[in-house]
Amino acid sequence: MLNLRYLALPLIRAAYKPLLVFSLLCVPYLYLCQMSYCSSLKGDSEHYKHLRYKMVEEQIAARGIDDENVLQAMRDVPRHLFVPKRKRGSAYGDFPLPIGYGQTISQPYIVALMTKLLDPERDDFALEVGTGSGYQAAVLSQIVRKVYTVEIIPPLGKAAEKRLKEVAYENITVKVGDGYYGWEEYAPFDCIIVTAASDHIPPPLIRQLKKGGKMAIPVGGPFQVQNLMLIEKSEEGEIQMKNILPVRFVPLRRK
Amino acid sequence: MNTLFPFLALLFISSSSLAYELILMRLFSIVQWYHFAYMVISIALLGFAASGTLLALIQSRGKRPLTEGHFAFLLSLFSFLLFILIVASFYLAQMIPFSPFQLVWQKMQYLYLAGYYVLFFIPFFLAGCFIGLNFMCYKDKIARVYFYNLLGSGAGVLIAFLSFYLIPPTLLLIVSSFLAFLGFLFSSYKRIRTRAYLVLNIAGVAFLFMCLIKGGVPLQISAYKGISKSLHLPGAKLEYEAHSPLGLLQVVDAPSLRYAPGLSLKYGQEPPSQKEIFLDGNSYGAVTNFEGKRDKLEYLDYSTFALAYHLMAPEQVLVLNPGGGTQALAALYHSPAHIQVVESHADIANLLRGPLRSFSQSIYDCYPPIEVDIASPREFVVRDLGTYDLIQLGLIGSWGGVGGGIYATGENYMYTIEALGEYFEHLNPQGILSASTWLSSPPRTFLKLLALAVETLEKKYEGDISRSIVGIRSWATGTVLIRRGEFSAAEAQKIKDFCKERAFDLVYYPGIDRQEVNQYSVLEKPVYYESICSLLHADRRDQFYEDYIFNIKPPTDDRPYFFHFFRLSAVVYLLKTLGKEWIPFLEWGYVTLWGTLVQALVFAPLFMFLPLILIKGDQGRSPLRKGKILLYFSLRGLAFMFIEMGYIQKFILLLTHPIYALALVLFTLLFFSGIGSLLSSRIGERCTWIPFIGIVFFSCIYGIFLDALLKIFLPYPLLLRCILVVFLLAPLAFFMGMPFPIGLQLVSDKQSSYIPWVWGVNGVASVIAPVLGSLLSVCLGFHVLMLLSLVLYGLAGWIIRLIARSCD
Repeated sequence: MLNLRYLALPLIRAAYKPLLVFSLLCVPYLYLCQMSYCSSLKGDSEHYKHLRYKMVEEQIAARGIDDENVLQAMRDVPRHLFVPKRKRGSAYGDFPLPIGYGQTISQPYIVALMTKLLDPERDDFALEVGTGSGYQAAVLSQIVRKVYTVEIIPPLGKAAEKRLKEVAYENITVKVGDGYYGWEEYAPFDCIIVTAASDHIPPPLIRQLKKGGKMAIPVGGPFQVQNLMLIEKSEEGEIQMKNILPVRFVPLRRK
Repeated sequence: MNTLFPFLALLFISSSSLAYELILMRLFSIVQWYHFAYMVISIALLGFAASGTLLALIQSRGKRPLTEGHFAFLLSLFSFLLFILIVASFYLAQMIPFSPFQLVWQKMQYLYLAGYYVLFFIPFFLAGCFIGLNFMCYKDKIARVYFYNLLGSGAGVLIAFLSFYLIPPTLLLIVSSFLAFLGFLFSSYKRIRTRAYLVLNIAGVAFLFMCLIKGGVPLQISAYKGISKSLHLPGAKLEYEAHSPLGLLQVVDAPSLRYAPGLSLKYGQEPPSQKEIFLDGNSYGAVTNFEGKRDKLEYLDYSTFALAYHLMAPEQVLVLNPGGGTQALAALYHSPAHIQVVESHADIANLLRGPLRSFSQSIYDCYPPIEVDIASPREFVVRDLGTYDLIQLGLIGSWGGVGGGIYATGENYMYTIEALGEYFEHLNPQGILSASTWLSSPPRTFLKLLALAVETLEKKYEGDISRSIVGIRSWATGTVLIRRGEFSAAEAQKIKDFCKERAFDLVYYPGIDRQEVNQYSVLEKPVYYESICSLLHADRRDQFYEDYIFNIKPPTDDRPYFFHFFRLSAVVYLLKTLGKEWIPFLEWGYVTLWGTLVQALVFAPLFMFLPLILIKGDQGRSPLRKGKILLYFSLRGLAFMFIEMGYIQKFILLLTHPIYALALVLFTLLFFSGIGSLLSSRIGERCTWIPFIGIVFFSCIYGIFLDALLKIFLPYPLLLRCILVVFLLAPLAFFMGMPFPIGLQLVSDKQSSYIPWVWGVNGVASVIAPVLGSLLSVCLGFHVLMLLSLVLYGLAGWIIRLIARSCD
């Protein structure tokens, strides 16, 4: 007859200690996770303001962006309201965050850099292709007269529209549609941001860019911006592009 | 004890565990990315290593030796749990919100990753326990146990491979689970009529039945994969889906999908209607409906790869791997007399000949002047006798994929110096070879292509190579042309006109002035022009390779890794100058290999030495030295896997696809190693060196003649090539199957309590070896890997002689 005790007891004896230690370690860890989650849900505006200022100081100004309009816009827009609720605790981190549907909200520095590259002015009309969470549009709206933004994924577009209304960004108009065609009705634009890069740049967007206007496009896989492309249309209508690396990657040769 | 049924159980569990490993790799490639799959499964395989610890524990805790009844109970227990957990672990893993790209930013992802590890570790652990227990149970029949183990594993490879053809991905795990269930039935055959086992059997059948009714395990594909993003687009629908060992092929139709790689900013029209092809969830290209009207293809004339058509009016065009037909259409726009298309992916060709036939205007099926051949480019050019005015290579890499470095460790024999040399030989006098790639930032992909073109020209062309090469780039793609002849001054003007009309940048043409470059898509420095100038000077080239921060040395057949750019020596420099900001430049494929190795090395000592602590008994009196045993089984394990990996890599060229090479090489090695193992019991303790001599002999022979043999047999039908592979590997595998049972039998005879430990050591070696082998192959090449395996086998042969002598 098989002696189950003979087999089971040594197994239990050997396993219970590691399991106990594991459980004891898990409890405080899960508690900390929960605490962090709860604090992220609180609408603690002073707390977030402090984080925002810190973000501008440490992530943006420290990397060489000195355009005061851009820095102020980044200080003013509550980024935590543009990320999913459970990720608010990480909203001001130096990294991109997922917002659903395979899309991300860009790293704060990339948002600032793209805004700066466009060199926006008070009277400008801007077009954004790929609204996402609406954060880039909100930042831009602090500097220019009007932002038109197009999102192809209906749930994202509708959520962004609602969010922007709630936060009272009145100079932003959101449309759910195919950004490939830009927004003919309000063209031409002084600046265009294409946040959803594809394998080619839609010809209608080039047409809708005003002479002397600028267009910025980030390129890279998910969670990676490897370079930014800045397209400039001269007063004669000629197009020139610049490849801008978002990091200090100048020397390609080692000493 | 009747040993047939228990051995059949072993056979089924072995086949189940190997099929499970391959199926997991397949499923992970679909839902996540291949390299993360590799990392998770490699770590999960440590379960085999950990099984030795549990077995040592079971062995050491009893006051009396384990009886037949204990073994039977444990074998039934392990097999039943394995049967359930094969499906359950994958089902549970899909509930974990793991996103590999967020590992860098979000600490929580490490916890999710740990969850993955634990879930996939358990089935391998159970399989390891089952197999290891068999060695303990039949300690006087080690060779036979290993025979059934290898035979089962070989069968598992075949079953998995056939399942990839016949069964949809959602049901694949049920195949492996069913094999484990058969293992359970055979392992519990003696108690089959008892109530408990009857209940378990009924529960098992019900479980399988329920899985089948539910349609298997639904796959939650990562939201960041191309297919998921495309399906979110308004009006998007999945129009076609097919599966094979080559991957899960899907076609998405959405009004907003458009594919025009690196289209010129000067082109003002919209591309015609298209459907996008996805392979394992990643974009493979697009099928275009040009409605049979040539003018609808005008947009393709605004890509860099159209340049060659503006320098000549080719009559005979060869298009290699056109990625859904785009390059074939580009050729069609210029109306040559004959377009020979070579498509290496049979499923793509079948798609264009079948479901998308009318949409694609039958371009792959009776559309003169296009003629399609399904073969790998290398295979085609070796058997083809024709010559061409223009040879056009499909766009290398994919949009977004190049920068992410997800192909870094994937072999690609289409873009090596030898491959381009073979294409070049098929050019008519004044013929042009055109190759294009996506650009990457900082520059590396196109630079590697330029280096490849320069070194190919140097090998194949006797004239002044600086007059036979041209390079241009758009904002997204780069194209290089090399010619069997020289580019004239009139053609130089045509190149300039082509680029000006399309706002493309000149990189190089014979007689170029520095002022002409970097005009439209402006880089901080004219890197491409400066680089090609260095590349064209043979005396400066090596220094240039050495100084450049990325590895841009052209790939060869020995190291066919076009997308491997990362240099380990550059890490310190990158960290120092960029801090955390260098992360976007990581090549994930390569980095995960290192990550896997580090993790394996961290856990390995634990599973190597824990059983030793647990082993009790008369170790003091044993003639066996633990150090020698550890060394012997580690060296043998590493050497076996190095040879296995080396030949998988080598035979990709012959068998056209990595999965074919993997299946056939693995099956042949395991099957014939099994036979070798069975016969190893006839080798006496004094002749333990025999298999090592056999391995070294055959490896040396292949090392000398294999390349030539592969070239001779490449043009022959696939079946004949498969037979050749089996014929070549069989004798080598036969000898490779002997060292493990010979060693283990020695251990078993003198100190049977070491068996669980040795089994754990073997598990550790089989986890570390593939990762280490991949890294060695990427960094040093196939020949170094093979040479190293010979050295390791040689050392193992020497050590086993010492062990055998000490036992006398």
